[in-house]
This record gives sequence, structure tokens and C-alpha cells, in this order.
Amino acid sequence: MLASASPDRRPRPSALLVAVAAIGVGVLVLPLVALLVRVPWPELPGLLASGPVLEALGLSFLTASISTLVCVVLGVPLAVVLAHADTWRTLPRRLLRTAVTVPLVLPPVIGGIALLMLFGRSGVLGPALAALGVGLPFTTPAVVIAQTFVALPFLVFAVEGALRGLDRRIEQAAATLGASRMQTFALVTVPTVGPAIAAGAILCFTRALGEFGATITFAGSLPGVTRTLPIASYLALQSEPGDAMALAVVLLAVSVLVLLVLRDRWAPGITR
Amino acid sequence: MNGLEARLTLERPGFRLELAVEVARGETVALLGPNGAGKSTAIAVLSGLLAPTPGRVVLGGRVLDDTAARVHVDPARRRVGVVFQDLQLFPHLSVRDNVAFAAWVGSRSRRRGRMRAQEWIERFSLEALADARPRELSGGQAQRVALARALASEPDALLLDEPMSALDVEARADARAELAEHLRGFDGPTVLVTHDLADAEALAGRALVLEGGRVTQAATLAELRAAPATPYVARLVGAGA
Repeated sequence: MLASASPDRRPRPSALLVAVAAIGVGVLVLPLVALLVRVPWPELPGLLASGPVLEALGLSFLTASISTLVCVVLGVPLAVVLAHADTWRTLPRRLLRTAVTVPLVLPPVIGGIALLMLFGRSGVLGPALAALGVGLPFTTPAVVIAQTFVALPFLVFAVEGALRGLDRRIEQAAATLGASRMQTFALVTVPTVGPAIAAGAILCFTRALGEFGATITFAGSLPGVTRTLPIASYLALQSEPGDAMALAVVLLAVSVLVLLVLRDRWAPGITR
Repeated sequence: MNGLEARLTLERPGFRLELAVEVARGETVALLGPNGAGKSTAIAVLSGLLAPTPGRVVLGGRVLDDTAARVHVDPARRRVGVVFQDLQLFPHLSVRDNVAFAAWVGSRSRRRGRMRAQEWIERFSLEALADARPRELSGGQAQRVALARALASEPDALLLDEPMSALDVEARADARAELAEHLRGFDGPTVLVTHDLADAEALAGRALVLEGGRVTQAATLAELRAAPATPYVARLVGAGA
């Protein structure tokens, strides 16, 4: 923003800075270039159509779609509450914000251990769930829970930002026209921040699709049940490097696609 | 009387608004004053977005605010239509659905809302624009939609907060004439906030001048011209002459 406002003011970076920056770009780009170089392209269609790869693909897209849906359902109201938390006392406000932020900074494996401590057989809720005949760990629902845990903050922060930027007077206008608070929320607030919800959902989906640590810890690696794309790719690296490459290419393609779909207006700063 | 009666104060840190105003049915009263005088705050209290501290607002015999009796009717139930300063059209809805919004939320049916809005679309000559989005409208068109949307809610009173401020000077004269015609068709009380004497003269019979949160002159527009009570009013009528 500042740079475009006064393009002439900022001094040109020195040669040393440019050189270091080039190394930085190399760190980011060279591994992906290497991956693309080593992918056995001619065999790719066959690899993608093979049983284990297809199984992992299907499981990943199914679970990531469900957890994205769960993130939207839980995350939009959470974002609304967070955006209104300014009027709260400092302590509860900070606690809430911290709770939403923790999954972003917590190593996912630790998240998986924490989920086991809650839902596992010897976990806090384990006995109660067992009494109901429910065993979550190492099931497909566990994959969805792990993905939701790590992806939810992306949805919440994307929507909260949009809600903060929303002119509250548009909601007041709806009220003067007779809309109840629920009607105002459903007919005015949500559609107005719709692009942010879509952007947050796309980020959620990408994060859920790439989820590894929390999933393998909490849900394990049962083929067809909990062995998602990243886990299958990691495991295949030892025995079937071709499979690993094929899965890696799929994940990379999805990531690039997300960057193309997310335009400036949806997620400024990410795609500028 | 059957119109709008308001006697209110609003206490804010560093600001105090005191206002007493009576507007008869079918009458338009202008609320004139410089920026920061409390005009928009007065609109916010009359529309129920802010509660007076203390005050009493009665509209057509209905008590909307009475702090002594702990009465505060919220904006959705007041039947007070507002045209906001920056219009606040719903950007994601077509012109038709903006105008239909009140009937839509009232009947809980978008279809029924659209049916009832049709009359207003026609009365405001919006047929050609009915499927356009607000961002595609000119300033004058957007203002017309905002007025149609407010009137389509069939309000008991109408509040207009600087309705011309989005228009350039050339468009204002036409917009004023059109607004005057629509106000003639509205039989409730109307409060028009403006800092433009020409708006007040075209649309209102009487004016209250608000300066620093207090009414400094209440008079017909002819009286304002003849005997300005404050330097602000003198500058206002001088500039308009």
C-alpha cells in the first residue's frame, strides 16, 4: 500500500539485499522445481488411476470437504462473536482470541495428541463415548476432527477481518426496514461478507487437504479409512516413489489452483 | 396531534444534544446546521438506533421512547423510514430486492416482497433499473432507490439525512424537484437533515437550526432569511441569496 502510494520515495534495495533475496527465492522455489523435474510424467495418468492413489485422493477430498463445511458452520458465528468481543473485558477477550490462534502455531502432532487426550479411549471424554458405543480415534470422523482443528482458525480470521471492515450502518439500514437481528444477519451481513467466507473456506480446504501431523497421530494411517493424500504420499516414498510423486503433484496442483482462485479482493496480501 | 413529537437529550462524552421538535402529518421540517452540530445524532435517536438519555418520542400517538417509563421501541418495530447520508443500499441485492426488502422481511417471503415492491418500482420509474446492482447506479439513481426503499416500508415517519450529499451540483436541482414530489405523496411527518439552505427551501416549510447540539433558531424559512438569529444562520442565508 505504502509503496504504491509513493513509489519514488523508497530507495532501491542494495545489491547485497537482492542477492540474499535471491537465495530466499531459491529456498522457496528450487524444491518444487526439483519435484516437477523428477515426476515421471509419462506414467502419471496410470499412477493416478492406481488403487491406493485413487483411494487416498477420494478420502482426502471427502474429508477435506466435510471439515471445510464444519469450519464454515462453526467458524462464521465464532467470527461474529470475535468481531464483537471488543466490548468485553480484556481477559476473556484475550482468552478467546488465543484459543482461536493456538491451532495456527501449535505443531499439528501436538494437536493430534491433544485430540487423543480428549477423545481417546483413556481420554477425558473416552469413557463417556465408549458408553455410547462410539470410538472416534482411527476412524474417518477422526480425520475430519483433526482437519477441522487445524483449519478452523483460517476461516475465523478471514471472516472476522471482513466483519470488522463492514460498515455497521448497512445493518442499521436493515433494522430500520423492519429486519430482525437474525434476518439482518442472514440477509445482509452474511451475503456482504460472502467473498470472505468463500476465501476462508478455500484456505480451510487447502489446509485440511494438506493436514498430516494431527491426522496421523489421532486417526492413524488405515488405507481407505484414514490414509489421506499427504500420509499416503509420505508412506509411498519408501516403497513406491512413483505413487508419492503422483500424490505430490496433485497436492501441488491444488495449491496453485487456490492461489489462482483467490484474487486480491478475496484475500489481499496473499495473491497481490 | 398525530405527527411526530420528540423532546430528547443525548449525552455523549464531550457532546450533548438537546432537541425538541414537533412535525405534523404531511409536513416536512428541515434540521439545518453545520457539521458536528448533532444532526445525524438526532436522526439516530429518532430512528431508534440510539436511545435518548433521557427523552420522549411519540409518533402518531405511539410512544416510541419514554425513558421515564423505560420504553424504547427498537428500529425494526418503529415504522420510521430512513434515507441515510451515504444511502446504505444493500450491495449484493438488485434494485428490485432493495426496494422489496421491507416487504420481504415483513412477509418472510422474497416472492411476496417482490410483488409488493412492484408498485414502488413503477412509482419511482425504476423498471429499467430493477435488475441492476447498486454499484451500477448513478448518484441520482441510487438516491431514488434509497427513497423508494424507505417509502416501500410504509413508514409512519420519514427521516432524510443529507439525501443530496452524494449528488453533484447539477444533479441536485432535479433530485430536489423529484424528492419534493415524492414527499407530497407521503402523508406522514418528515424530518430533513441538511446543511444546504436550497434543500430546506425546496422541501420544507419550517426549519430548526442546530448548532453545537442546541436549537439556536426555530422558524419558517422566510423568517430565517428576514431575521437570522446567529452568525451561522446569517452566513447561511447570505450565501443562499
